[in-house]
Amino acid sequence: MAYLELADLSFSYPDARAPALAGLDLRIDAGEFIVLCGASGSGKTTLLRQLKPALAPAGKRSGQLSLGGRPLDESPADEVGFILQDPESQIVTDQVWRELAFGLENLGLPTREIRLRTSEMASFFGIGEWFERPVDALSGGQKQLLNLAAIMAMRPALLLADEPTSQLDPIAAADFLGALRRTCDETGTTIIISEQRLEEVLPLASRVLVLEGGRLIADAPPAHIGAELLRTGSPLFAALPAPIRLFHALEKETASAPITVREGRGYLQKKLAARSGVLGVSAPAAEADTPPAPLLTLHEVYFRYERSALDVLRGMDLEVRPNELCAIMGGNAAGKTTLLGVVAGLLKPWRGRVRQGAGGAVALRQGAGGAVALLPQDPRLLFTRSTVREELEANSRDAQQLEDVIAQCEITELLDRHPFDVSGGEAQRIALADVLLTRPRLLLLDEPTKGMDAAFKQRFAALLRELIDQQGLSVLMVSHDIEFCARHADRCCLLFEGQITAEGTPREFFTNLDYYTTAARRISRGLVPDAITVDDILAGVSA
Amino acid sequence: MIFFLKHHYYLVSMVLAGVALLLFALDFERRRPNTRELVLIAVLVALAVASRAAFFMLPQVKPMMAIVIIAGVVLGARAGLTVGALSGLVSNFIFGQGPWTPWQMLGFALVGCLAGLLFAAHRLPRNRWLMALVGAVATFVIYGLIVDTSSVLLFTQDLSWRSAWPVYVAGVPFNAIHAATTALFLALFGPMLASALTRVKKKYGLR
Amino acid sequence: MSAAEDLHPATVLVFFALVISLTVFILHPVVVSCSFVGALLFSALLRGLRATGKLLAGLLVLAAFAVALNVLFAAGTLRYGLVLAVMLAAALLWFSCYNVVVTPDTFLATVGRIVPSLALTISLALRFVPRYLRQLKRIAAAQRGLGKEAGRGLRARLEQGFATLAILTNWAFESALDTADSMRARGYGTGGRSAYAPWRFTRRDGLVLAIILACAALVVLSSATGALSVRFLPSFQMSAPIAATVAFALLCLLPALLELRKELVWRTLSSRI
Repeated sequence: MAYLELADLSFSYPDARAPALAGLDLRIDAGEFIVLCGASGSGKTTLLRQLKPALAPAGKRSGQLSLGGRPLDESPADEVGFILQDPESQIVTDQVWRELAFGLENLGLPTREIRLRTSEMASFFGIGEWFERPVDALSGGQKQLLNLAAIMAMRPALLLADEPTSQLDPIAAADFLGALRRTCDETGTTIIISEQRLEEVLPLASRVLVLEGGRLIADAPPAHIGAELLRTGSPLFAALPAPIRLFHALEKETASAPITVREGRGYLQKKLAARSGVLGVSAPAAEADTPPAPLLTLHEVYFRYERSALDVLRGMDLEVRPNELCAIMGGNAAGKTTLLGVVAGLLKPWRGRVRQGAGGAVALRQGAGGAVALLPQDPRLLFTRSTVREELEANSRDAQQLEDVIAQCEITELLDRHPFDVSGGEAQRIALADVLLTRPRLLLLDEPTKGMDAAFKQRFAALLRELIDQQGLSVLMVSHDIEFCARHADRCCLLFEGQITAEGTPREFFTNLDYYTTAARRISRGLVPDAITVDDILAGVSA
Repeated sequence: MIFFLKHHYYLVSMVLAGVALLLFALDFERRRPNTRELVLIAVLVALAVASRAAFFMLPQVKPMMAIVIIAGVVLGARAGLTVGALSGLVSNFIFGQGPWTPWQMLGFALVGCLAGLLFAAHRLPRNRWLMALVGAVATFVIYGLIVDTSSVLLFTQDLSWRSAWPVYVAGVPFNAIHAATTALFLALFGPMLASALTRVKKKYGLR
Repeated sequence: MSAAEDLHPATVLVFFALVISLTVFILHPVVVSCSFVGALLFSALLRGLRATGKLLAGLLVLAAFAVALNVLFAAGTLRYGLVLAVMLAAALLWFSCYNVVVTPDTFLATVGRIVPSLALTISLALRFVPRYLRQLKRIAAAQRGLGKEAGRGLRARLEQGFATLAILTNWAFESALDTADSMRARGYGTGGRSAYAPWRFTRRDGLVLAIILACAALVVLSSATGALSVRFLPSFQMSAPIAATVAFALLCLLPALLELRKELVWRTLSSRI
């Protein structure tokens, strides 16, 4: 008897034509660590919410759901825990200790028991240091860890997590997943987690489930999930980590694929050794001899938020050239968002100059709209009206342009919706349309790929390319998304301590780095020169 | 006893205010509001308190009363009462508690309650000018009277017209500005906020 | 670090409730003077001389208004006006100390036992307010990034304010749905809820509370029997038994004494280190 059993589970939302979940059969044993993947809208959230009766949406459900041998609906409130996506909005109270106690109070536990369990959780997850702080003083990663601790204090036997790391930066995401793994290993809690970014989470999984259109299309251990997806011909294969994709591109039989970079590297070493160690050399593309005159130049820019504070930008030099996608990368607090603020003219540097269009034909008028426009991380910061149509019309002065932008951003079907009733990816496109209506020459993007699924990232990159090539825009984006920048940027810069410390085409840039670089580069370092994507490695190997 | 009452206006009024607020609190507990209702009330309270910052460049504009009124208009008298009383309390957590706290709570609560009685269930049309008019009158008369009377009682420990009128006169300009900005806010922003709240009420599945 | 933080919040709340209501309601020259001195000392120790001085300047204006109101308009005497003015100043000083010592957190933990739903609503609102303030700043920056600069005229400023508030409102309602889900996911509303407070009621609390209650009881008793009384009209008459005076003085000086004691303990400890 499995711990969690789903038999022929189907679910439809009230006004939907197609079911959100169709005929799921699933058995999960106690103590498993399950990773649930699929594109947005594939039914991941719907499935997870079906497993937590208190959060199950209204609609029609059929089939059997049992937990620990009982019907799921009869399970007690503390049997199943649930972590939502946004670390911020799911915190209920204003103090860390109060938050840890919240669920326990709901269970009606006595003070002594609550004191014991909160201190136990604080020790287990290492939050003793900020136990007495207000929630407001925590970072995003700490907030999500607090959510985990607050739920684990209730001692659930099953923990559900709905894209819990999508709003976190890579370091905080890795910390969170580490804590989750420890929870599973040391307490035997069964975990089901849905994720878009699979690199870090897949090595932790005991099984991977893949949903497509509300159906379960694959169910296999991580080392075999690639083969399963290839067999069904699912486009989700492209979202798998680099070692798996590399393995299946080179091997035809369905053996266990490498999952981590270490395993991938070992595999590639063996593979090349079998070929008597001949290394293919992929020739880097020839560079244009003279770079075009910059659209915007930052010259020794210093910026701080307050007179007594430290400089966030310290002698920053940067050129933004016409018709390019320039990506700024770097860790937290390196000054990425501040840099965008300075370029957008929202923040005034106290020393140094921001010079515009020295050689360009169009002078950039900063801050007053028109030439530079900034798309913020949270697109919902821009929406003032109650339908998408009104929202766009309020920002547009030209009916033809409005029509073009709507078509370009593929939002025709959303025009009569409330801008808050759309999905994250849709909101991003509406916000992009909003921004494009101001006819910018330079588009600034703040972490645009946060929370996007792999398929949507592709379409987003294509849209950016179209804007750059056909409409002569320049794009400056700051991002943590190494893989996206490596594949789609024209130029990459590394920002550290308020300065650009490395710069170049993606190939120059990523082959110079050994750690802060793409998974493909880490796998092939010293084996295949100049490779930064899986395709590069394949080209090198077959050469 | 009569002697006692006559000479302890402030004590008596304070006890009455306390009892009123306590009754309201117990009513709230007894109804056991569901999770979403409770969260929605907290959001409205926080919006009422934080809204001041949206007009940092116009320090006289304090949209708190207007938001309390809209809460009453859309969600009914009880919600108006709750949002009003809690807004008074929470804003004083931030700006400092004092002897004025219970009176302000009572003032906001009564205005929110009145807005609910008049406008909820579409008894009166949610016309921007009508809301502005009701808002201005209620702010000036109800809120102004309660808060000014509490000052009279605090300053003189007595309730006689002779000592009260200077306080009321001194309060007129403050109350007039408060009423005018509330009316302005309701006229310009009221319908938008009311429709946003109506949409959310539906989305939250509240009646 | 105030000495009040070493006590159970209930002890502290009872102290403030008693000392403020006795000051306001007994309105006796001896009582208000003791109260004023105690509050002034506590404020000076708690908030520093500068902040207390600033507050005193403001209180002086208020006190002048109270005296003028009572002497010029009410049928009061100058004496009555002065007593009222001192009472007002003392009460407001106590409140200023209350605002430092009693954080919303301690207040909520105490009332949470009596009105749990209400306390939770307030706690939620207190968590939302700083979030909304931060979000307002982000919204303003995002709007400027689109080139929607706030104009200088009154109309433009109002419009900008409304637009910002409209975005905040919709965003707040939306993200609160997550909060509600998170509450239900953690079993809120499923059954009897207990109220947790991390503080322990220690023997020291018992002792301090006993002193507070004993002093207050003596003063109330003395006032109710008419032993502690005052009359301003037709002629000024006042009686203040020594026991009641000492008791009330002790009550008012208690926080300052506890504060001083803590200060001394730490001085001697750090000199030994």
